Amino acid sequence: MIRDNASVTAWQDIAIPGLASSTQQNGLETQQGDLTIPSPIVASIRFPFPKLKTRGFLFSGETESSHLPPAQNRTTRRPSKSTATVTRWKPPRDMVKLEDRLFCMLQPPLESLLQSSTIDFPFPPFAHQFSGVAFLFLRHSAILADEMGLGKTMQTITTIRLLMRSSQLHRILLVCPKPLVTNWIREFNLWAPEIPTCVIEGNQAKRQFLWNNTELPVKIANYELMNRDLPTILDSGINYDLAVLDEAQRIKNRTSATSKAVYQLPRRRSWALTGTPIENSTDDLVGIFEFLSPGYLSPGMHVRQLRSAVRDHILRRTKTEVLTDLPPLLNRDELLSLNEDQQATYEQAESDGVITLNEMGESITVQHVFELVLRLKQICNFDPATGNSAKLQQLRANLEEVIASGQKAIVFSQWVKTIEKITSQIPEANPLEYHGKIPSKKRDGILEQFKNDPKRHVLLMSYGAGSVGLNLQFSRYVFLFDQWWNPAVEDQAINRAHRIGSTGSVTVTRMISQGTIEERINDVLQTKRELFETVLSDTSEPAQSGLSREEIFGLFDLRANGKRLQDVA
Amino acid sequence: MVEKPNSTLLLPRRKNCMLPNSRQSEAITSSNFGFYSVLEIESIGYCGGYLVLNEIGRPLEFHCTLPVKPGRSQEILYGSTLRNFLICDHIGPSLINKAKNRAGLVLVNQVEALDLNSKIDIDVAFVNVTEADEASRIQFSDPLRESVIRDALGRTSFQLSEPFERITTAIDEAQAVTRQDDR
Repeated sequence: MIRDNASVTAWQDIAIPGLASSTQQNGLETQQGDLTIPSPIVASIRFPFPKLKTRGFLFSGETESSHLPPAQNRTTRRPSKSTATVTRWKPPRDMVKLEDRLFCMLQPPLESLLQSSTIDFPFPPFAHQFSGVAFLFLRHSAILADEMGLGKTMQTITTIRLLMRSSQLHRILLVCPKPLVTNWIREFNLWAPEIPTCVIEGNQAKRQFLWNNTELPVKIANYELMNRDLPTILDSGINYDLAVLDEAQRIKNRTSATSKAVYQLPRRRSWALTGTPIENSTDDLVGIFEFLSPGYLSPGMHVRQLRSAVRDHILRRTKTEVLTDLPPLLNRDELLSLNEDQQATYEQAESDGVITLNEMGESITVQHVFELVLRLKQICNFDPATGNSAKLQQLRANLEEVIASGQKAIVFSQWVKTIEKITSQIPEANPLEYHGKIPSKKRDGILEQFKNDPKRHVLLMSYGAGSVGLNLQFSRYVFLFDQWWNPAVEDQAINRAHRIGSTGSVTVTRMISQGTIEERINDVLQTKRELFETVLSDTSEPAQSGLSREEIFGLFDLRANGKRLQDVA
Repeated sequence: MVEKPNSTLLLPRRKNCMLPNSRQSEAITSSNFGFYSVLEIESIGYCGGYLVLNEIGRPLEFHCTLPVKPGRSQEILYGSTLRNFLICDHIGPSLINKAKNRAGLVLVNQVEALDLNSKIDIDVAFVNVTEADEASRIQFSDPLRESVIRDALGRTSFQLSEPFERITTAIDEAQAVTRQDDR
């Protein structure tokens, strides 16, 4: 409470109007009326707000993140004010200055920047692709771990395009499996036709010339070349602004020659693309991070610790999360009984094999069991003596339906020999083959023919050659003639057809011989798949893996010295 | 230090000041746009944010306040005028006057902030973000300036409601950083 002087005085000379004061004079008490109006008592009370504290940020100068995608003035292109999606820029955790973080967050949404620029897209990108671009754009070390079919390639190319336009990238090295090189070129031509690409190939002299060339903005090389050409790459003195690894699970093993070579690539930014950053154990992730940010993770880290460390560097979305309007994927297991002669051969092989394995005692290894499994699986495909195949009979019936409806189908097998046998026995389907025996130069032509030739309804592919990176979304049917060990690889195969651009439902048929090793493996993998789907909500889940040592031994009732080998393992 | 109370507090809300005739048709020359918003965050208080954008929506400048939390006595004294006072008298002019880049028009997303027109020397318009119809989305502090303001808005290449979302995000971020610093 604050009183001013006037009020203090009034307080002291307090007089109550209307009441007389009494005084004594000469012993006589006289009463005198006070007719003056006293000053009012004023009590001033203020509740001031404290002085406003503000923080100001002027962005006209250069900030760490000031090179966001360029936007043109309206004179070049008038953007639409309505945008369907809004992708905000979220600064990475390692961007620490508040000014930089705010500058980033206060940028217009990515869609708005792209609309106001002169960047064209052949198709409007999906919302999740915009957020993928915004994620990659701001990161120097990142894993784009989207599920297959969500457009990791497109997101990477678009981000490269934007970074090049904002002069942050000049020299890019892209490393991918050899079969995917042509796919990357095709995708660059589609999504960034103005960016010249160059494939590192040919003899040593030619490759050396290409590695030393400083004028090539995007160099595409395969993993096999990394180890061989590393000295040349280092001698060239070129420090790449960005190195991208496609199918980066290739470097999950830190001690492999390829991984060691890739880790040494001179670069400023490192991105890894993979749908399965963890295939077998969390150490796979450590291997990939050794490329992204050496020493950031260490083997054997606790899952919680790992999850917290990588959270800001990994972006993973699944199709069910982001593509709510993607046509359905229909899975069905087709359990088939073996033909009579197939059954006899199978039983004989299994009992002989198990006896042999049991006789080996404790010297038995996973490799020995594996060999038996492979032999039995091959019998499930075709009887080696007669060539009979229950699966082929069913496949032929299924393909007749596919052909009659004018659709296309992909048939996967683990073995090239199986593919060749199928080809020879379904001439009516006029199939095409795509596997390791097909020269790289012919592969694109085969895919084009499958896509465009209305008489070509069937493509027979090996898992090895056809499971990654190819876009075959015009196929409505996928047949897995035999199953791969690892559901992640199988899913990659399925996702060639079930991906963005799929126009109708995709039916996947797993052909499984009943009562055989195939059914036993399928049961184990199915359990793992269910577990994976249950826990796949974050990046630190146990990923889909193949059979463990214990599970392989568990496929047969093998005993050594009276003990079950499964238990020993 | 004792602050002089603002006389507008205890007076009935005054009408918006009309500009002199000479200014009524004066065009808005600056191509920058200011966006002013106050967030009312429970348990923290009022946080103001002022963002200046160029005509293609790029940020030029951002100012925000630390939270202002009225005490019980202030709530009693200001009564129902508290919010208006904070938005129009206490926070708004301080933020807007701090900007180095002068905006040609200040857009607000709280209708109370239209009264800023009488406190600052810049046109103010209210963007009703809940209004779907673009034409009726804007309200003006001075109807005589409507055509001039609409001309200026025609130069923008972004959605007028969108920058307020940026302010919200930025204030949240600044608050989070401040809380971290305090720890």
